Amino acid sequence: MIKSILIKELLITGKAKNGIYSLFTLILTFIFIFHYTLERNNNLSIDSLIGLKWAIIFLLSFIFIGQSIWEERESGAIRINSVYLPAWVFYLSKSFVVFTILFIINILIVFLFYIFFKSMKIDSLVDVFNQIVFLFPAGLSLSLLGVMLSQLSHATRLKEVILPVLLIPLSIPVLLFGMEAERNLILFSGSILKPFVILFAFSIFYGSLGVLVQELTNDF
Amino acid sequence: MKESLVTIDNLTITIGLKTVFKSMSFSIYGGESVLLTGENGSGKSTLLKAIFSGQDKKQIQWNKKSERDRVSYLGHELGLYTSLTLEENLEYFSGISKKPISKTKLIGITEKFGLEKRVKDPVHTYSEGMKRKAGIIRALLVDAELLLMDEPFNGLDSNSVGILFNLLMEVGKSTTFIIVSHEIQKIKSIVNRHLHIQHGRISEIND
Repeated sequence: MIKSILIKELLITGKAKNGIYSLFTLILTFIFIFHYTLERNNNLSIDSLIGLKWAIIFLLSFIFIGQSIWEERESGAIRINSVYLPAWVFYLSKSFVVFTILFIINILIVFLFYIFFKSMKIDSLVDVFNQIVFLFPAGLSLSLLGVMLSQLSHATRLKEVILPVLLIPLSIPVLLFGMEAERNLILFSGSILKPFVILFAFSIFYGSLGVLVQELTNDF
Repeated sequence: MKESLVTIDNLTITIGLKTVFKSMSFSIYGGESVLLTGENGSGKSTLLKAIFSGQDKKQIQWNKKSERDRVSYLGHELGLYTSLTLEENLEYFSGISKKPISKTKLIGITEKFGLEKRVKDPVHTYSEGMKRKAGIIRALLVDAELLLMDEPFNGLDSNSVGILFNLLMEVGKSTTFIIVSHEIQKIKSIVNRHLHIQHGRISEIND
């Protein structure tokens, strides 16, 4: 059952017009705009680049999560799924696929930043690791939160309206904390473990909340 | 004595400020084929959706022996992922259903509707009629105990209407079904019960 769900989720993301292709185009557009407007005259500092990277990732996750539930809703398949699948299985599978794709995209963004921005130096695997270590738990938190709120927006019949209203305030703590942790790590050789655990705790909290919300809103 | 498959007990549904049903009660018995009629907006589709989703478990009671997930539904929405091919859709729904029909049977239904050459095309490339046929195939994929179909004949050409009509006759031998349709005279010959919704009340029509 889980295999069928994962295959379906990956196929939808890969094939839908608003799936991975549009996401890739969006990344390039964002990076090119910032490169052309800000990097052209002065090299952006690494401090600014970390902020810029997290801001782009935040916007992308926001858009991608909204799109991930769109096909379910438009097709009416969400109603069929709700009868055949336990709500938590559907929720966790979808969140897992959204997270996996977002994380791959995040790694891609790190390399695109390296190409486009001079201050972004990647000399060894450690540099890559430092750039992505906090994106892992932060991306997981955003995926679990986003999929939960997408389901909630569908169940409340408010649909798209409620998604940004709830997603922005709930995801900003993850964004700010993750960004600061990465700045501390790269600029001041701060610790990895403590902020990683805190960000991961956010994931567990949002994941548990998500499972509960799925169970409560399954009958619609 | 006939055993009820699903019992609707004092079901009240309110959408916004409008009460669609108030204290509606009736039972669907195993092996029955039911035609559900009513004026536009009388709540036929809402009732089917409520039965399918088991919206209020106290008011919609399933027979303890029946398997809750052996219910299949075709609504106005297809329930198909349009960016995927029909084959991918059917594989997915087979994968998540506890009791899908055999692959041979499924291929047979697909061939009957003439979609066998298009199964590898994304559903969004289909015409409206073809999408409807694909939705019907998806609904028939489950070896259902209860089949719920909301105006399944809409958008079908006359040949496909005949095919679906024959399929329903065949399915009706082993499966309980409720069908919403405005083609009363035609459907009457394959159903053994006719329910009519009017002003939020359901009544049995004997003729």
